[in-house]
Amino acid sequence: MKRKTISKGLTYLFIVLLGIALLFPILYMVMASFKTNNEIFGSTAILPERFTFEYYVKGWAGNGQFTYWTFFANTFTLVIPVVLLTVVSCTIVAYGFARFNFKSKNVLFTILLATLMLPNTVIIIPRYMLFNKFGWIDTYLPFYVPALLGCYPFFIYQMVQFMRSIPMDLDEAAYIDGCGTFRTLITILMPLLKPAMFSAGLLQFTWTYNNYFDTLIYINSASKYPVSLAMRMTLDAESVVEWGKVMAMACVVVLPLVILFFSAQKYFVEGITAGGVKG
Amino acid sequence: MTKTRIIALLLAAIMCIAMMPVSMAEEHEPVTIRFSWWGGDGRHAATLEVIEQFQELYPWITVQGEYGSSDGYHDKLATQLTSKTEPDIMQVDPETMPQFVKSGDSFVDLAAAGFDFSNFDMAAISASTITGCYDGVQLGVPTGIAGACMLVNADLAAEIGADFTKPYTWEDMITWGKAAREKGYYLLHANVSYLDNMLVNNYTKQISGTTLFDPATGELLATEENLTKTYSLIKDFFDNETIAPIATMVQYAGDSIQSDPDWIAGKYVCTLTYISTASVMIAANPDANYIVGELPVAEGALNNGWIVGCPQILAVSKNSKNVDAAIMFLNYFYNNEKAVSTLNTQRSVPPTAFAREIVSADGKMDPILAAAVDILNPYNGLANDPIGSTPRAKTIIENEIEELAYGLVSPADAAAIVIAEYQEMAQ
Repeated sequence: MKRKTISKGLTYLFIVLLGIALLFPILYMVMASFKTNNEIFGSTAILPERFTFEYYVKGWAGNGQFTYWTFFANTFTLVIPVVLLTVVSCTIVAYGFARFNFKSKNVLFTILLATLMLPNTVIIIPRYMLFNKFGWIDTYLPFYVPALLGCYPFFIYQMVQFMRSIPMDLDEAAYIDGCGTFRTLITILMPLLKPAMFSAGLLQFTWTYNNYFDTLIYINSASKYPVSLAMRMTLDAESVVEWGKVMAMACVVVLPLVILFFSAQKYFVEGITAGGVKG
Repeated sequence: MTKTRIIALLLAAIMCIAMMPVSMAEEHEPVTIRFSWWGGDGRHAATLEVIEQFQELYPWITVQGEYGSSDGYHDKLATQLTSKTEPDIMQVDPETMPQFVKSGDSFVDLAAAGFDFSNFDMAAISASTITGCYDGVQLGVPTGIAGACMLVNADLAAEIGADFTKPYTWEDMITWGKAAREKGYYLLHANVSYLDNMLVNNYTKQISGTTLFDPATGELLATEENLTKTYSLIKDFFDNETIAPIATMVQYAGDSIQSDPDWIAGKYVCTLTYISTASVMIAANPDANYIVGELPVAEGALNNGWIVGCPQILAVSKNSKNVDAAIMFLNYFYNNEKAVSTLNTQRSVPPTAFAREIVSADGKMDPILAAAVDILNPYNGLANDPIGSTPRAKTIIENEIEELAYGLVSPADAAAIVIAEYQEMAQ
């Protein structure tokens, strides 16, 4: 009994220490958002000398031409449609692969998986040239259209695996009651697919939100910059960087992600494990 | 009669006024030009203000700013140049520009296009590709004066009895370094890439009188004997603790050199930095009392090594549909008093005497920067050759500096390895 308590205590101690170690960078970021450059580089104290929102106000004002209102509005204009389109298109494509038999299905599925292995860096130049020919540079279309056309094999694969775990009997029962294939997807499968759809949506949200390179390549005008580009705008080797300002904006920028994760945590964990274990 | 005349006059006047904007609009179709640059907050704000001033003056031209940080800037520019979607005006790094010029006919001949070079010292800027001149054609305009700057913490220098204001040699630095160690300081703040760019690059030019490769033919000019001398000097710097140990240096590699806590705490006597970075170094430890020193030259040097360069170049795209508007903007940017005064030293010390006078009169010229330019100007070293400035050539040198510092190779071994690899690179 005693030994059990000790081992439990040790486990908790370990978890608490690990938690502190993992949270430290975030704590550092929050604290640094109140510090001057001299404090950040010159002292090892974690607590700032004073708590002031000066850097938040200054940082939010942006560079004089655009404020973070614009950058956040741009981010959501970019991210939300991409997430919705990804979830819808990937569900439909996965439905096809999981539930229907058609000619060369296996070949197509292999090709789909093969594109999953293709690193993004390899396709960036042909993609850029293609989108350039379509006249989509400096618009959000290079993000919307691939999402609409199910160009995210990772999510399709995850959805297919999840759908395979849902018994066919449900579909068949619906058919007997006179349901068409599309209606079966909407009314029978979708409610069951919710965890998988949520996890795909959440992952896509984070990835698109954090995406630096693609936004850098496709977006030219500062008026269309999302926060990922806006954050980098103040950092330059040839200029004096006010780190407090950068840290303050970093705190603000991670907020939507933190809120989203906490509020959708239940679905997210369920979706990942369900897609991964059953198959 | 008079009444009719007055009415007629009034009507005519109204017609004239009403037609004025119409006729102006007819003369000038609205034009939009794109201008891309990298920088920090200060540079963005100043450049955007100049754009606004220009647009007020020429209301039919809209200048769209495409700006961000230097991170990824040239990757993006390379992609844009390949697919011909580059901005009309672009800020380019002078060390990267030769690759763009080589891979395609991308930039406009600015003199032919009508850019007003009258404020520039043409002999100086047409001397090398670093200031935008390629085969006698000016493809870019330098935005400022750049080059090395010996930034000295004057109080510490006085404490150890080092005089940086008179000419001195690299060996003098070792002697001063010993005095600095006795007081608990290091003499020179540097990291591996700064040792390469400042010490190897210039010391080799000084003792050999040539660049590493022949700039015209690409033939290897560096000799094993000279490189052994260079690496011996670096070894002496490490052994006598003129510079911090390699284990400290690697933590503040590349551009993060200003975050070294010992620099912030004022434990280095001096640093060999760039004019454009000097203010960043000062901001990291603002309370110290700084002066700009002379630059070290080897005894019996065949060439003094140090060169006057520029930090960025502005170039105009050959694919631009509005070259005229772009040139008008550049003329405003470089030659208008108000613009020059707004830009002040955001892109280093201005490239023209005209602009330097205005900025000094405004009191916006940082005395340290002005001193650095004055000290650098008389140096007339050889311009770096294109092969020796490639990232690959630099990595080879830097790898051997690290191996030498860790005691894995002797100076002779390091020189032999570099020569062997350079022979492969030579054309």
